[in-house]
Amino acid sequence: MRSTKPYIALYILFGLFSNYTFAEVTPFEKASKAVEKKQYKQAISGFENILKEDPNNTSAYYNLGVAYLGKKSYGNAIWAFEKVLNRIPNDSETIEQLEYAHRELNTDFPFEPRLNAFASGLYSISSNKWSIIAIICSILITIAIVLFKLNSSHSIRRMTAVSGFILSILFLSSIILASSTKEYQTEMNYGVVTKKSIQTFDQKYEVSNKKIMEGARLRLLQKDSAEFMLVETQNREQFFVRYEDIQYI
Amino acid sequence: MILFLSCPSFGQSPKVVLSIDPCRAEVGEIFTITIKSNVQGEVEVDNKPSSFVPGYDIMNGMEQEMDPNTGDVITYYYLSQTGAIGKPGKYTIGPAFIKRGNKVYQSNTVEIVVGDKTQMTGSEVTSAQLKEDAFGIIQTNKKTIYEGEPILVSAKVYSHFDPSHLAGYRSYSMKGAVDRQPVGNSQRIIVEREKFKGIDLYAFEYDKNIVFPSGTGTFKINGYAMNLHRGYESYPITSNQAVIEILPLPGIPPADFIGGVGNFSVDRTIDAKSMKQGDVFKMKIKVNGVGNLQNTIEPTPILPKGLIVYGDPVIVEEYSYNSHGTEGSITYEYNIQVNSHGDIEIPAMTISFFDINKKKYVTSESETENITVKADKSYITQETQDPKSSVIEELPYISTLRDSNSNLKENVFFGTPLFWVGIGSPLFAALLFIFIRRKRESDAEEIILKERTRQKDKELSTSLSLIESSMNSNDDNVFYTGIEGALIKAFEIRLDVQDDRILNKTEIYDYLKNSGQIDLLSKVKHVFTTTDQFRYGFASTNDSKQQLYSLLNEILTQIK
Repeated sequence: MRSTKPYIALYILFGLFSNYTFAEVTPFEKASKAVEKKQYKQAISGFENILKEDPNNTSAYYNLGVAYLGKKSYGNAIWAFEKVLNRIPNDSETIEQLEYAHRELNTDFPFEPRLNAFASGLYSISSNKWSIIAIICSILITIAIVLFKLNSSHSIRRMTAVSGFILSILFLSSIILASSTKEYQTEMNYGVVTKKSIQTFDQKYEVSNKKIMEGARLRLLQKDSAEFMLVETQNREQFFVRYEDIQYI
Repeated sequence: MILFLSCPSFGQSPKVVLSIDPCRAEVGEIFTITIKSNVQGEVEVDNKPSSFVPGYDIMNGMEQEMDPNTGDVITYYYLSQTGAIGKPGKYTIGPAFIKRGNKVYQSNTVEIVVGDKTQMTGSEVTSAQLKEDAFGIIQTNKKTIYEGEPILVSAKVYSHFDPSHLAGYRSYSMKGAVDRQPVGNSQRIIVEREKFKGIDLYAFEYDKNIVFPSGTGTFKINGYAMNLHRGYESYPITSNQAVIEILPLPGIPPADFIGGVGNFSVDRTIDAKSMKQGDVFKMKIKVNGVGNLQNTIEPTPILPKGLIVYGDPVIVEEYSYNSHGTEGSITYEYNIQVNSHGDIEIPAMTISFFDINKKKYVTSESETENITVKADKSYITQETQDPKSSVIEELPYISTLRDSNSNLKENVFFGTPLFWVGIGSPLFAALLFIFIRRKRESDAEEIILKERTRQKDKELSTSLSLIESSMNSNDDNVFYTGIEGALIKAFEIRLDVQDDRILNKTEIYDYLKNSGQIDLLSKVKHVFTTTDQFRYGFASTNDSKQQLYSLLNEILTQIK
């Protein structure tokens, strides 16, 4: 009987080559290629589909923003980049893209980050990481308590008491930061105008003479009715706008 | 329609353009007729269909454009009017005439194809909803569509009464960034009598949109809400959701597939047939059709060797939305540089799209073109640039495209039971440790205390034995010291006094006084006084000793 080993080896070799040669292009790569080829509509559609499946993919939001920039749809680009900042508030590259989009739109207000440098640094650490820090602190506090109780040496007791105090502050801060980072990343407190301009309304939902232009970031204050919501512009003016006129960050 | 354009114009050759938007509509669907001209005068549009019903919206105005050839600023006046046609058919409208003085200027004609009203299917209605005064459903023209195919969606409201108006309307919504465009009379209410499941009801259609869903699978349209009014009475309505199935496009699309789903065609024109080597000519590729035209991608120009695309195309989008999707054209104008010479054939331009009716990919192609290029010895063929590098140079931000950082499994951990267990377990362990340690300490103290009490009890019984033995002897000092010592010991046990300290009489008196045991106080005082008296000189008898011993036992019983 002839040995089957050479055939198996050939099969494996062929398998390896075939995998290499016909490696599947992922939808993400396909959409990125479309941006490079300036096929922006295809790229936008591709990234939107990716984000439906994977809404936490910040790179997809970033590349979507680049595709919108290419299409000169600056309001949408601002929205996509703001979505990136939701996850990584101190992403300098995204901030540069936002500044570029605002310059191109020539908006009334230059781009202003939602968080200051210190807060954006803290919020760049994800809620999950803060949660893990809180758990570690909780374990260390327990160790400090045990050491404090078991040791009669005055110096060790003092050292463990000070450590326990510092760890307790870190523990509470981590919980607060985990909660607020989660809220920042998941709650929709802001929206962006992606249309050329949107109509505003007064307290009685009557059309006001003020229009909000593309690219404006609005803070959502309250959902007043089924159709309107109260928003605040960057210069602290408050208006009612229609729900559908805003893309939520 | 006879109207008067009152603004004057000067110094341009007369031009009158008639246009219609959209050029395909359904019965009753609103469309707009626009007359644009650089002359003023009375306007009249000829050949309006007898079934044309003019709308209420009439707009006029002026705009200025610069002539790219002469640099002159031209003032255009426009007049537009909405309307609808009540019968299906193909209609030619126009020409429009502008009469100024004795002169009449004529425009082109336009065509509109009016189709039958699109049949809409409603979402499910429960028997409970049917019993309500008013209820709403979401209507769609299809239940299953192909990826990229548009779908017509509208809100349909039924009521048992004749509604006067509606308020607080919240439109139906779809998840994701869905492109939706209003179609025809989407915001106008025309109430009609209609039979629904055998019941005669009032009905109207509202908020009609052509929607371009993205992706495949189940597509949910969330219900709308409104307050339907009959005068002052308000009836809140919330519709059910509608579900559409989006099928993926079958098979592998052809290489020249432009992402179009519908019906499309391609035309190509060039602005010169003969030229010399090195010249640049313009080539226009026009994609016409209906479907998802606005989402189609730029077709790749098919060029023979020696012809290269120079720069980016100028894209002109001329389309409108109707109940069939986006209809119109997108024109891509390329600058083509000729590097070779001779008679050159430019092969037919092809595009492929998915035809919904045929359910397959269809290819449309343009005519082939021939050009004659004269050789130019002074022309040096330039190296073509790498297209990718040129793109990056033009759009520097593209170089920063990022790789995927898929976070499919990322969930927010904070606030979950696992998080609270993670936080709480060590702290609970610490509290448990403190509790156990305290318990142990208190147990140890209790044992010592018990031991001490037992020791004092033992000492007390020894003292009492000593008293008994000394009672019959003549050693009064031992007897009375023993009596006093036993009494103090008994109170030390009672008051749980630490072993190193000896209780004094004043403390015993204070204790008894404060605790209100006056009878016992007098007895104790009596014992102490008697012992002091006999110890320091008074002679004692056996009877008095016996009495004192009995009193001591009585006090001890009371203390216990």
